[in-house]
Order: sequence, then C-alpha cells, then structure tokens
Amino acid sequence: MATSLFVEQHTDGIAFYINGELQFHSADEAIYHEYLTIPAIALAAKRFPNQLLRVLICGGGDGLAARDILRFPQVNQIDLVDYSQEVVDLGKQDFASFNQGSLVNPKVAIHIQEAFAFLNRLVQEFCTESLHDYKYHAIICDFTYPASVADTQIYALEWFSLLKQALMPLGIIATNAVSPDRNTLAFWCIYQTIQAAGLSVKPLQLQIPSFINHDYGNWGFLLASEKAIIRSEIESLDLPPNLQELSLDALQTVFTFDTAIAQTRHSVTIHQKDSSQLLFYLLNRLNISHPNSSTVSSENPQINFLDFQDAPTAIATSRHNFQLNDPMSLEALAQSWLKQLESNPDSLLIPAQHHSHTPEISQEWLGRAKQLLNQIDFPRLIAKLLERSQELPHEIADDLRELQNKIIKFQQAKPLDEQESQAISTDSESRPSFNLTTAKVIAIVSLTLLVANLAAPDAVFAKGSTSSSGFISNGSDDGSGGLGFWGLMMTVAGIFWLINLANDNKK
Amino acid sequence: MILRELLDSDRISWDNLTQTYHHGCFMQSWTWANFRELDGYQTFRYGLFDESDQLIGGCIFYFYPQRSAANLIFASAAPLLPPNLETEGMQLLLNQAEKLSQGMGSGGAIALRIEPLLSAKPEWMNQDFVRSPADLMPSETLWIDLQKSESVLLAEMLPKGRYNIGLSQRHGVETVFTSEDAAIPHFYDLFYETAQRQGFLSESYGFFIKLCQNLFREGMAEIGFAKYNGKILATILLIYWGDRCTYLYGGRSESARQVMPVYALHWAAMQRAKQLGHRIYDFYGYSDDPTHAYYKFSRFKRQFGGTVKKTIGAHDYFFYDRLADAVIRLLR
Repeated sequence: MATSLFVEQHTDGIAFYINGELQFHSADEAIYHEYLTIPAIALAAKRFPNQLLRVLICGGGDGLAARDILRFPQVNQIDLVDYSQEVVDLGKQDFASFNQGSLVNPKVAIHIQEAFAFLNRLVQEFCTESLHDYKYHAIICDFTYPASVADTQIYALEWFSLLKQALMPLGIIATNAVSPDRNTLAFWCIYQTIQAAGLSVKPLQLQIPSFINHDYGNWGFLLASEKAIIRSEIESLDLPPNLQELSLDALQTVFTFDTAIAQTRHSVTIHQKDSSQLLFYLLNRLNISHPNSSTVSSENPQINFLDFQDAPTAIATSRHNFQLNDPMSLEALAQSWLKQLESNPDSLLIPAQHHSHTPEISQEWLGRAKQLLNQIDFPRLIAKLLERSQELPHEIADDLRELQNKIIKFQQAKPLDEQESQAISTDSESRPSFNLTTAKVIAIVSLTLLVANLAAPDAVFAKGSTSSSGFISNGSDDGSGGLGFWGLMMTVAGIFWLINLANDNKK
Repeated sequence: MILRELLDSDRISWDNLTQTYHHGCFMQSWTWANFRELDGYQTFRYGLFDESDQLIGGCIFYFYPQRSAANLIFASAAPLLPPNLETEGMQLLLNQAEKLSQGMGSGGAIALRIEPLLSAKPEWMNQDFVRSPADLMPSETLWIDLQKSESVLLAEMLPKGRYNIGLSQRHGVETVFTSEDAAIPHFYDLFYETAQRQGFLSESYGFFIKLCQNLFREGMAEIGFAKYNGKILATILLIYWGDRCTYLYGGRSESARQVMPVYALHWAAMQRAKQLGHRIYDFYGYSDDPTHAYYKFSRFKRQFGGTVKKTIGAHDYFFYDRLADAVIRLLR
C-alpha cells in the first residue's frame, strides 16, 4: 500500500503526517501518547501484580507509544504491528531522539503487517485455552484517522472481538478514536461497538494544541476491558515517574463530557466490518446538533464516565442493528431521503458521500436533478427493466409496460415547444397521468444519479464550475435526445410520489 | 489493435505518449494516478497496442470506491486514441470500462465519464455519450503561447497587466521556485487564507502534502513564491507536463498588495516555463460569463493576454444494465 509520509520542520520541533493526517507534533505529542498508553499499562500492572506484562501495539510505528510503555519495568515484551516499513524506519532513525530509541529496545518485536491479519492469525493459531501464554495483558491501538471504508475495519465489531480473544480476561485495551466534539456520532459509534463486543468501556477526551490547530477538535480515546474499570482503580494507579503531561488528578478529569454530547451515545448503531456505518458518521458529522463548542466548557452540564457503568444501549445492540444495515447503501439512502422529505422537504439533502462533500454541494446538485434526468434515455432504461421483469413484482412490471407504451405514443406525437411543455408540466389537470411505478422509477433514478455524482469528487464542480454549455437547451445536439420534457415531467412526478409516500407513512 | 492493462514496465512509454499526444494532460500521467490512489481512488490503467506491441493509445480510469451501488468511472483528459483508429480504440476501452463497472465490490458504476480535450465532439463519441452535468477539468481556459518572445508576450498583454508587472519589478518583488517539501506549508498557509477570504471550497492540507510530494519527486511540479522585504506575499503551484505548464492553485496575502506580487509571480512562471521548454502557459479555468464562479479571477488572468480555449467538456456513457440493476434492487 502506497503511503505519503511528511515530516514538517518547525522551530519548536517536527510534525509528522501520514497520508496528510497529522500523527504528532513533537511539541505536544506527550499529551497524546501518555494518555493513550500510561493509564492502560498502569491498570494492567495493577490487575496483574507481580507478573511480567506482554503488550501489543497496533500501529504506533513512530515508536512514541512504545517509549511510554517501556517506562514500566513490569513490561517484559512488546509486539508492535505496523503495516508500513517506511514509518518504522522513520521511527528507528529520524524519530529516535523523540522516542528514546524505543524501536531498537530488545523488549520490542516489530511485525510489518496489517494489524487485522496479524490478530486474525494470532487468534486462530495461538490464542486457545492451552496456549494462554500468547495472550496480552494490554493492547494499545494507535491508528491513523480512518478516511475510507477500508480504514474503518479496525474499529469494527469483528476487530474488537479479535482483540478480546487476544487479551487476558482482566486485560486492558486502549484505542485512539476520533474527536468527540467534531465527530460525535463516530466517536460514540466506536464506543458502542466496543461494548457490543462484550467489553466494558470508558471514554476520555483531551485537548491537544496541534490537533486543535488542525481543526481536529478535542481528541478521543477509549479504555476497555472485560472487567469494568472503576473510579477507585483509576484513583489508585501507580504512574511511572517523570511524565510530562499526565498526573493522577488530571486523569480523573478527562472522563468528563458535556451532557449533550454524552447523550448522543444512545442514538448510534454499531459498526461492522462489511458496512460503512462508521464512515457514514464521519462524513455526516454536521447532521447532529450539539453545543457548538470545541472545548469542554464548565458552563455546560457535564457527566463523568468514571462515576457509572454504561450498558450497551438497545439501539446499538438490537438484533436489527447486528444485521447488515449499511447506511450508505442505495436502499438506506432512499429511506433516509424519504424521511427528510417527510420531516422537512424544504431542506432535502443527501448524506455526504465523500470527505469533500458539503451540504452546499448537495443543495446545488439537487437543483440540477432535472438536468441529470435529461441524461437518461428512459425508453432504453425501461426496456432494460422489462427484460428482467421476472425479477419484479407483477404489478410493477405491468405498470412499466404501460409506461413504455405511453412513451412510444408520446414520441410519435408532434414534439411540444418549450412553452407548451412548461404549461403541461405545471398544470396538474393537463399533465399526463403517471402511475405510482413511473414516479417511483423516476425518484429512484434521480437518487441514483445524484449519489453517483456526489460520490465522484474529482470534478471542478466543487469549485463552482459546471458544464457551461447549458446542455438542457441544446440537448438534441449532444445526444441527450428530445427527453427534456420527460425529464421535467418525471422529476415532478417523482417528487409527488415521495411526498405522497411520506404522507401515507404518516397515516 | 489490442487492449491490455499497463504494467510498471509500460510506465515510460505511457508517460511519453501522454506528453506527446496532442491532447495529453498531466491527469493521465502515471504519477498523477499514483497521487490519486493516495487520495483514496482506485486507478485502472489500460493501453492500446498495435500489432508490433507499440503503445498507441489508452486511458487511465479513476474510480472512487463507495458503497451505494451508484458510482462513476472517470477518465479526466482522456481517452488517448490512435489516429484513424479512434472508433475501434474507444470501443475497446468502453468494453473494458463496462467490465470494470460490474466488478466494483459492493458498489457499482452506472456510467463512464470521459473528457477528451477536444474542441468539437468527434465522430467516435456517438449519441450514447451525453453531456455531463459537471466537468472534471475546466472546459474553458486561457492559454499563453510561450513560443513568442518575451517582448511579444508583454506587448500582447493588456496595459494593466504590463504596467503591474513593471510596478512589481520597480518595487523589487523577488520570485523563487522550488520543489522542496519544506515549501508545502508556506504554500498552504496562503492558499488557505485566500480560500477563506474568497469563500471557495479549499482542498485540505493533506491533499497538498500528497500532491506535492508525489509530483515533486518526479519533477512534475513546483511551488512559486513572490517575496517582498523577505515576506512571502503570493504563491502558485505549477504542473509541468508535455508542452504545457499549468497553473493549478494559488494564493496571496492581503498585505502589500500595492507591490503587485501576483503579477510578478505569473510573469516569472511564464519565463521559467519557457526556459524549461514548455510551449503553453495554461491558466486552468476561465470564463467571460459574469455569472460564472470563475469570472472574478478570470478578469485577472485576462491581463496577461492569451487565447481562450474551449473544450467539449465531460461526457457520460451510461451502462444501462448497471443502472437497471440499481433500479430493480430498489423497486423490489
């Protein structure tokens, strides 16, 4: 897998980016790495007294997490799994002064591999009852921000189930997550997914100046174990000396969240490997209402997750949600679209399909639905649908045949000029009748075309340039045929269908 | 003529073809495709070969994977088709694109979007190609002919452009061009400031890290800076490919505007591109239409003279079987 690695030199240190995402700034990386690693290892040390600890680091090729884990004399072995040899090479060389040479420490074994594949093999081959010694006392996940469906697999139910199998029963997992205030739903999605894997979980959040400067918001972590982590354990941790940022007092405050943000944890569903649930939340973070604050404010009501034990919420773990329910599937998008139409048709939007997709872009494209439909040769499409009529309910196939006949008759009739078309399209009495299937087909095609264009970000459209030829008016010159009128009619009909369906649902 | 997937060993031939092809473009270069992969795209690289296995055409298809079963396959500034064999070559590429459209995991592709840089719709684009609702590249741009002498170039500029260049020189505005990674954050700071000020959608810092790192290593891009009293006031990102030097992104500070740093920078960029052997300075995006989003900065570009170039823009070819798939799934 090709990777972009970028080391930025600053007067106060270096900043390191993987695929354009900031991994650390040397000026404040201690905040991130100490909070990611120290509580987990200190908890493991407390729960496994007088034992030598085995630790797995997933990611973390820069060696900074390993540095902090090696502060504990109880740690006897660290397996570090990172897919990038290049990152590990940087960790061994360029970052050695920052990670204190952690990657060449004899306690550290480096495995260049995808973490999922590594864990899968480990669990299948070694983590049986009789090979208990292969399990870890602590697992630290230090991953790059997930930017694609593939990237989100390491936050899936299947992933956390694997971690649980590779972990000693009292062992501790610490994972970086995403921002609780910038990506609230995504953060709680990971939280609920961990719970659904049968682990008890505590959320925590930090302000890291370099992350805030990159507009990443507060940064979130999750601390998990099969056995619930309780306040008294946290309060009595033995921390190693000479930490730069972490103290016992400070640690007890980072489990605090604004109540409004915390309450949204009940509204998310879990993420599974074969769905895009988490990516959906990451892309559609603006769809949630919560206090518009990038900091934990003392004025907002807050709750501290150390004070209670959360149970997996019904919505996250319901049977329905364990089934594949991909929010970015066309089926789910159609449902979502309909719901928006029912609740607020004036602000109809399509969920973001790509990280550069904004509500403004959606709105612009929705205004062009008619133009999109004009691209389609409907007689050809309907013929294609009828070729496969056995796959459709009888009544729909019959309706499509009726529509096909209407189109043929229409095309044989004298073409209407634009004024007549407009009159017909806006005058409900003179408009040709469309059955429900027609409207439904048009609505589905509209949505499909919108989604396809919105998922195609490599277009100058995003910068305000559209095809400038005004192709509606010269449609017959560019091969789009004389279907402008039909496009208009069908858009109207499609929208009527959606409204009617929404109204039916209300009844 | 046969079509086959391009191998790493075909890279030099492919890049040579895209650089010498009369409508070739950096978006079809091997390096650009690598960069897009880093940005989440899948790329599919196909060559058209003659009987003696000489590469004579082809296309790099781009696909952004997502899970909605409704997607597009793109080919920016493509396809590249051999003379007199355009129809046959296009058919081979279309067949391949349709095959690809079926094998896109849980998602599918309902159409192929191509954008050959032609001034008129050719015969090989039959009526099944319909005008796209959005272009992949600007279909209207402004070219400066770098084959002309510097004095002629200056003479053909609008008086304001010529005057402002002179003004920047009198103020002692300095220009520098670099392909060092260290320039990226300085470029981005000004680009971001400009995007915020002018309210246009800006790519992320990460996008530019990936773009510049990839293109810098291959000698395909440079960042230019205009400095005044030691402070960077303006920046541009240039792409070098074939006969063209393309101005892709830029930004400027609000401070010391009176020294006309942007004029100094573009003029220096043109001189540099000319020295490097490029024939065209492409301002990448232009419109005379006051309602167009490009209009405001097009007025600035016009000060440098040049010729407006229009291409036919992007066109879509629908895979009706795939579209029917999507519709049937939702109708059931």
